[in-house]
Amino acid sequence: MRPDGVAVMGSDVGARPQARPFTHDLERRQRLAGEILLSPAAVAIILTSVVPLLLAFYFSLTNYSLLAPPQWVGLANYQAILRDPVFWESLRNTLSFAVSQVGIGIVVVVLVAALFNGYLFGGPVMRTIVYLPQAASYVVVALVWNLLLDPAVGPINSALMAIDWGPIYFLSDPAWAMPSIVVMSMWRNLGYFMIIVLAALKSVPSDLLEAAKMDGANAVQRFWTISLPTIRGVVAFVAITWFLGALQMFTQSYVMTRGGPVNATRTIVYLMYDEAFTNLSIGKACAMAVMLFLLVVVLSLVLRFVLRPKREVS
Amino acid sequence: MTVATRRGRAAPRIDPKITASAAFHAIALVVTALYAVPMAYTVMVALTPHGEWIGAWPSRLEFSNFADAFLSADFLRFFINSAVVAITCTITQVVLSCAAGYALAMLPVRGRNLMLLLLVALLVVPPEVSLVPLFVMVSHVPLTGGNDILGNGGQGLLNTLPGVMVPHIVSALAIFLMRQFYISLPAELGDAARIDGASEFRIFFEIYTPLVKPAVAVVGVFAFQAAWNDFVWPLVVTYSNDMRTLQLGLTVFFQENSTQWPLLMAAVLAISVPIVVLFLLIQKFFQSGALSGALK
Amino acid sequence: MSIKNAKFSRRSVLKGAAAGAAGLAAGIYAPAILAQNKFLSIMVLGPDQKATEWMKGALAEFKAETGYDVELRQSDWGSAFQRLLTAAASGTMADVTMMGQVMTPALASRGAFLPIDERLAAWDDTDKFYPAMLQDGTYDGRSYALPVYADVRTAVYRSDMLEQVGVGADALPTSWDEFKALAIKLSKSEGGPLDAPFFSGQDTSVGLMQTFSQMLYQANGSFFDESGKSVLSSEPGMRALEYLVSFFAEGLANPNLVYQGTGPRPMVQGRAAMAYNSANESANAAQNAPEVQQYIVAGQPLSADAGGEPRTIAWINKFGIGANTADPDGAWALLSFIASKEQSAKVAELWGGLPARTDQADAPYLANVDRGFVEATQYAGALPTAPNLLQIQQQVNIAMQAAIRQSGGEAAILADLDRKIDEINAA
Repeated sequence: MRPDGVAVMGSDVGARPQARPFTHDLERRQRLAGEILLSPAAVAIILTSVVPLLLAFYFSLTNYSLLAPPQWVGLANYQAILRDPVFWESLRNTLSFAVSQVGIGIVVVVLVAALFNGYLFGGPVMRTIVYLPQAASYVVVALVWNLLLDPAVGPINSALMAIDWGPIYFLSDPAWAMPSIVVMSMWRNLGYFMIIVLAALKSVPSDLLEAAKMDGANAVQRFWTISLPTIRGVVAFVAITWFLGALQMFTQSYVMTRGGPVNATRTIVYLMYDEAFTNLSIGKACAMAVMLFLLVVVLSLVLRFVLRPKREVS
Repeated sequence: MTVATRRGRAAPRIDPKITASAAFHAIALVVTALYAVPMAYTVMVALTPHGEWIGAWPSRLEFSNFADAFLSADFLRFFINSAVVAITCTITQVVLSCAAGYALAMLPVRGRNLMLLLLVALLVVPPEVSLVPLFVMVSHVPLTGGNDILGNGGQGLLNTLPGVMVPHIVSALAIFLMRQFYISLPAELGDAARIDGASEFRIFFEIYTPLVKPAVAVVGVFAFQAAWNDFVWPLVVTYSNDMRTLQLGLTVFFQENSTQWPLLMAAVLAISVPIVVLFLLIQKFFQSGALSGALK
Repeated sequence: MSIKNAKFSRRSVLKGAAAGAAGLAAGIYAPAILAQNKFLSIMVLGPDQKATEWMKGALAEFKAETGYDVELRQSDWGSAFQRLLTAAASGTMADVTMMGQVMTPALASRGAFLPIDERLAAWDDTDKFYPAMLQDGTYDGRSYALPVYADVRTAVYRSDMLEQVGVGADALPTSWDEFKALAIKLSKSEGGPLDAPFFSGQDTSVGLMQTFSQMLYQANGSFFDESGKSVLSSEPGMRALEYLVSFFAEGLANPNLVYQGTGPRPMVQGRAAMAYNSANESANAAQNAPEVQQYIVAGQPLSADAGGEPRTIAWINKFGIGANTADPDGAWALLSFIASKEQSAKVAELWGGLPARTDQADAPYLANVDRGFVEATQYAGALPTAPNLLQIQQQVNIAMQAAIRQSGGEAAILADLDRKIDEINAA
């Protein structure tokens, strides 16, 4: 699942003023039309998003197992989860995946976008090549990387062995498995976020840049003192979106390592999937879902606060 | 600024600008190579004849790998399923988000602010949170798959294509995006049409919606991608080959003893082509910054 | 712009939507309509492409005989149990379902399968099955499944590599010490050809746990005591784990060598020369490197002590009838067809196992399979038929993954496992 759409920087929830009271009849007609247009989507949203969310809260307080009707157990599921060392390990894995991917990724994204923002011969072609993988699914990218990283037939290990450095067991060595998945995920997502940052860079007022140029500032200085402060808001948006998306990692681990070796790539969502569909413990799985939900809400508030655009005084 | 004096104006023969430009080109080439080489490698493996050592330059280009990949392992069936699911979801998402987005932006609907708040709140809910309860709900849809009117006794929409579509028929983000685009359009257009006697639906459909076509394209591509690329949901909701989608079919291909990398890579390429092409078509739209503009 | 047009188009949009909804509804109800025709489904686990193709042919043959259209479902072994469990819970089991060894009690205890005792009593072929294998399909005194093949494990070697260090097929190890000595001989540090001669069966499923279980049996240990308490941390368990870990600690096995489920297994690749595996190793060679198949030889199962009783484990794979089948007679017809003399031998061949029927003890494909695999059958026991064994074996496998990467701490790992297993059984 792609990381977009998880965070929005804040929005003007207020409505456009409707200053056209032709007649009472018109207003009534408009209201009716609006309700007809809105209600199918509203019903669909409630059924596919709101009800499942409420059900997750409810099931998390029961021992529901699919095989028998739910029975109220209070906070027992939460207690069991918090006592389980594997949960904490998965939480640590999830956070380290998100922090390392986005922490490194955001710097790379900004640098690459800045690079492609300047004049480059063949720039549009190169940019498009970098942009391609993010359209493909995680399954597809993971399978390609499975081949690239394969210890027996993969090209990376063939190269490493040629210089006597290998093989490195990228996906079966606990020390390498998560870093490998981080790099692969970053590789896939870079292009998408780069395009957004690039668009922001293009909107930096050119008269400001010209003025700095007249003052003799070189490209690096112009970027650092003018472009970067201007696009700060977009960079923050990208970082938050990317980070919250990364907290939901599952497919990469499922396809590349099955959560192993020794739980090294087991994430919260992976644990939740196992709990629900291996152990049929819907109650526990939903308790994990609720915890993931709270984690995302809290972190998105914290990140928005930390990365909020500061008012430029100078 | 002191910067100017340090560097000096009178450049000698080698212009530092040219050196910098060369350095930028070199870095850009390296970055591009990090993407181009794995992709080219995938293509090369996909064209390697059966039985040849993969990774070596193939003795000839075996284009029949693509046909073989599609013929084996029920791939054609997976392809049809994926296409049906993705196209249907694209249509429903576009229709629902245009209608709702327009209503929220332009019409005096009761509870509009509440709905907007709900949409914004839903944007932070990870889809994985709904995975398990949605599975339970889908298995209890009344009067389907042998269920009674209360939704018990059968399998509901499990292992059906409508079941696979469920999470993708509507999207809070898409509605919100469309609302942002509609609201940026002038109200006068609609007022003029109203004076001409046009109905509200016609104003929506024939006056305003043609003006947000690029946004419709973006919402459509996002919807298509979400449905086409989804893995977790079809994984839990389908169990028979007949209902599997391409992404799941791939992992089956990958399992058990006789995985053939060339066929797998051919399949990987083939299933990525449609979505990559769509993204190339809307690339320009991202570059214009309209998307991040609408989101801020 | 014409207003008439707009109205017209709106109506046609509505009509289109109605047609779409009807189409959708038809799509949903289609399976129910089909079920009234002669329609069955079968779920097979872990087939490769060849097996899938064969299965389709066999089902076509079944259709010609009986008129049943059979839908083929399949899953890889890795997610098989999840699929079966979810299917059982939501009443969507296939009419006939393949199951692995430990799935039988797990699923039967949850009422997923129809008992077949009466049908077995009335069937002529029942006495053609090895009684022990038939017995393995029972839970709580009732029969639920017919065996189709046995995955009998034993010590497996690459004879060409053994030859390089002067060990002939007549001098294969019979005890742990001899096995270890051979590994040392094969290792590079002793001038042998291999970095890591012993492959421990690590894969993306529970292969490592399976190797450990055999060692546990060879040390005369067991998973549970009489009362059902987990006793892995008792003396035989410790001995088995210490023996397993010693290969890694001494550099005779590589903890990061994991069979990814794709292509040749490490022994077929020539990266290892010894493993605990079954005729599956031979089938893997046949598919990926036919020139290697002749070198895959089976030794006798080992015993922990010289002169002790050889012990090993057989994983017996079977087919049963889903409890929710709408057509039990049709399902039985399909089940007995798959377990028939001809078809079951083909299943055994394609899935890389040994026949479950005495009248197939000399099936033609066995000519290419080392006799050692067949002979090991007499020493084979089975895993306990505990309903939670699936969850348990997952836990054991993860614990073993940790154990082989650190030396020392075996006692703590096993004690922790015992606690976890008892917890799972108590829940």
